[in-house]
Amino acid sequence: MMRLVWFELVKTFIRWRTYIGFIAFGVIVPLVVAGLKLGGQRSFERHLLSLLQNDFVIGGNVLNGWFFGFFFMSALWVHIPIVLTIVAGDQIAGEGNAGTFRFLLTHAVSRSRIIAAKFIVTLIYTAVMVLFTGGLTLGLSLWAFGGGDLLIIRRGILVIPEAQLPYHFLVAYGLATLAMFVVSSLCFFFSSLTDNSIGPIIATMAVIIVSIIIISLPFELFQAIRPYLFVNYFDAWQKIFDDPIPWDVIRKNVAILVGFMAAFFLATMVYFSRKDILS
Amino acid sequence: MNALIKQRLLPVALFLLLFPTTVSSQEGPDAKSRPDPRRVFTDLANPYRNLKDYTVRIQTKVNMPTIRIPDFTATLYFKKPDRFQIETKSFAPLPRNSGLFNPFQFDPEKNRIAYQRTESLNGVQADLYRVEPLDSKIMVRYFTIWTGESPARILQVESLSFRGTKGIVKLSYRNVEQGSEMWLLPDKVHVHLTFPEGAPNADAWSLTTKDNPVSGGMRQLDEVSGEGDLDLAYSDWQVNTGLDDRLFEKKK
Repeated sequence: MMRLVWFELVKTFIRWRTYIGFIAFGVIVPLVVAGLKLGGQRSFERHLLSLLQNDFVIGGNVLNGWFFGFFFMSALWVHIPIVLTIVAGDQIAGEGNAGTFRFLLTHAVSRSRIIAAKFIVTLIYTAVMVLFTGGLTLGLSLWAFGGGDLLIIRRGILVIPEAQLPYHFLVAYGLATLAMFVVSSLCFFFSSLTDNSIGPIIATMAVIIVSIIIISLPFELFQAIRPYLFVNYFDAWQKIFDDPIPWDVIRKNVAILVGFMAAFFLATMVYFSRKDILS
Repeated sequence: MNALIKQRLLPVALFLLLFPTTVSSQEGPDAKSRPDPRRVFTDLANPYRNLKDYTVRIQTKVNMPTIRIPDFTATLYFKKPDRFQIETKSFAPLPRNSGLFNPFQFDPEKNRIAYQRTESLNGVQADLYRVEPLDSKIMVRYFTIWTGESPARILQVESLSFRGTKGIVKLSYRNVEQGSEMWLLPDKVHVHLTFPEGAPNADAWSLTTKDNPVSGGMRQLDEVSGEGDLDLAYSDWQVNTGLDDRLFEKKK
């Protein structure tokens, strides 16, 4: 199994499309950091804290590297799925499109093991992508804006001391990776349905965009549907920054996300095991 | 004839002589006890007329449900007439109105001051004044100030901001010796803030739900409500060290 995973890993990482996401974020993140450094930081601060500035004089390095690390994480999790689907959508459909499945399946390896290996590689790519983005945003932000306590503006203001932040971010990145695993799993499932990798990418993004719209609009009907959408649990990582940390809610969200991931993987397995390979 | 004139004018003359006396005898005791606000506030600032700048260390404890921050320490720089700079690595919100010591804040030239009454404040006889800033940039509708003790000092300040935030600042002082000079400077300051109920920030209005995963990570502060306390302890006073103007330049 390990050799199979290694084989799939090499296949994935020798394709240039695998690096599109790394290149995209490698360009976007330094650009945004440069924009913030060249004046954007102050206007950002004024906008965020305008209400408080009526009654308080604000001191300290408020918008520091940790703050922007958190801010990027909040902003980019909508965009990360786009680059994840490029690789996840190609895992099965790409083989079908290239006509290599028949060759691959003539070897003495079961279909389920091939799918499992491809799934593991998809998850590895997802984790590497999330951690690369997280590391890049946090590293660059800390380099550009320095350290300090983290200011969280959600229901009022919460400040988390800098000493506790590495732990918070580590757990948050873990939970963000889990959320992205669900996206990749869905795209992986769509990939098994077709021989064209564009289809799974568009289908996955369509599901995410429609889910976000349903979750965001405060209509009663939409709010009733909300608990059944996996996107609803994507913010589990943000809860790590609450005080006190709602571990019971996080545990529930993790269980739901793992459930969705397992369901998509099993659906892929069942469908692909019975699939008639024609190309 | 002369006697007639004398008879008729005498009551008038007596009235003219007595009337002002009567008026002054009615106002006299009040006028004597009623302090002149302009003079009182000039006298309050007088001991500090040679104060050009100060540097002080502030330890702050914040106890507010809406603003949950760890205790922090900051260095506060002040330069005459009203420039402040806070230096700290922590997030340090300090009350804008009266929480930071500025001996020239209630300058009679820049405020409309009226004496209200004399009352007992925590067992101390205190004169109460209403102070309305004339500068429109100051976001305070009015201050109510209690002065008392000897030498006279500001004991308590109540402020009402245009946004509706009410602040009560209680001050205690100590004498600080700096070379040959002795300054009466704040030692501990207790601030109680009451934010207006249900005053959301109009700029932060949004069609989307507040708790959606997209915006939930970080958003503009759209409401500060409830009430809470701040305790500030001042230490390590350094007066007139010649602080550089560049220290107070705003970072762009």
